[in-house]
Amino acid sequence: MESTVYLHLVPQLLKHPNSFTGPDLPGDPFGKGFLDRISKVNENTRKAWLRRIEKGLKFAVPQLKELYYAEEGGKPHLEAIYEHWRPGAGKQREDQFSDGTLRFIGLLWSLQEGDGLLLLEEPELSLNGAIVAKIPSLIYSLQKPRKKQVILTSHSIDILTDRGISLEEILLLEPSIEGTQIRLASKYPEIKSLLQGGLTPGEAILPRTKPKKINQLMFEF
Amino acid sequence: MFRILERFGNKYFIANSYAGNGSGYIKKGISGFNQASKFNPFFVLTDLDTYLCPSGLINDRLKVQKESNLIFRVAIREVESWLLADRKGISDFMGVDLKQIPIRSELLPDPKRSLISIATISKKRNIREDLVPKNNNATIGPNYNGRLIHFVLDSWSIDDAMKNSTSLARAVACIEKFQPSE
Repeated sequence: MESTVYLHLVPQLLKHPNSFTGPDLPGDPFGKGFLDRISKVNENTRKAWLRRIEKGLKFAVPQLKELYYAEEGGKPHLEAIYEHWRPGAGKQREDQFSDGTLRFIGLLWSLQEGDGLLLLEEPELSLNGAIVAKIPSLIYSLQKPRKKQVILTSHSIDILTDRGISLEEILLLEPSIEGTQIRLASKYPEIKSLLQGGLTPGEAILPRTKPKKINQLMFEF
Repeated sequence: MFRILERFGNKYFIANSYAGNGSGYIKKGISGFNQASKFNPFFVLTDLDTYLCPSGLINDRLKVQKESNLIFRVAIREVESWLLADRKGISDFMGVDLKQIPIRSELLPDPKRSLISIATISKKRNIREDLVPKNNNATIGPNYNGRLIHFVLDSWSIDDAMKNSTSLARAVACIEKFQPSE
């Protein structure tokens, strides 16, 4: 059965679950139960998915050697082994992973699970720009074999450097007094011309999202 | 650019502004802006830098026919020289004697550097701290743009500057005469 998954992983919830008490939010949008979700997947599938994630992570973090699932005292964990000059010193658990690593893992995991609609909130957060630039093609490759639809929000010019993104895949949200207008980027002839003239989708579109008077922003002390 | 356009009252309305960091942006985007100007006029401003003359730069940048609704102007040699051309305004703003401000800013080979050197002798601490790079690991001061935008928006006199800069005078005349063609 298809379902909608909203993902906006907040690394602090994952790393310090005991600091955040109270009932879990339905759908677990911020990833507090992310590790539980991983633990519920059958072992072979989980291994295959984590191997793919490990492969992707290795490009981002060259010293990474291995990423795997482990349980201790009945609790699920993710562990990673890094190259380290001291033998045995390069092991980390998810509470030691960087924010970017956790968000990237969350992104790559959610792209592999399920067939329904995936909503990603600002996937560029905490990630190096060069990695962010790869996100569109990553989404395309991981989603290709299935009928998954992905909708994401972004402010990132890096994510929009990919010229493989069609203008029909980009929606602009423009606030106005009457409410927010939503239009396809392909409906703006100016954007289309800029793209054909050699600008990336981000360069052609993002200037429109700038606050109108931002260049006049000044503080006087 | 905002100041130049607002001189002409309601003739111009800025729908969108595209700005990069450095001349590479114009180099890359100009044929796109040229094409896009078929739908809405585009006003593009760039620095001459080390080119010999504006037409050389324009021909190099734009390999195809320039659309009639593209207004492509070049500051000689950098936009900073347009600011320096308002000698009295810059002298007041930067707290520096009028005689320290160059008479013909268009002749300066590196207007940005000239402006920064003037800032180093400024009587105003804000000016020195904002405009002058902290050390030789930076090329401009930590609030270079912010501080100069203050000047442009609040004090810069285009009338006075035009008297000392032909490239500015020509750009203003062009904006004054421009009529969009359908």
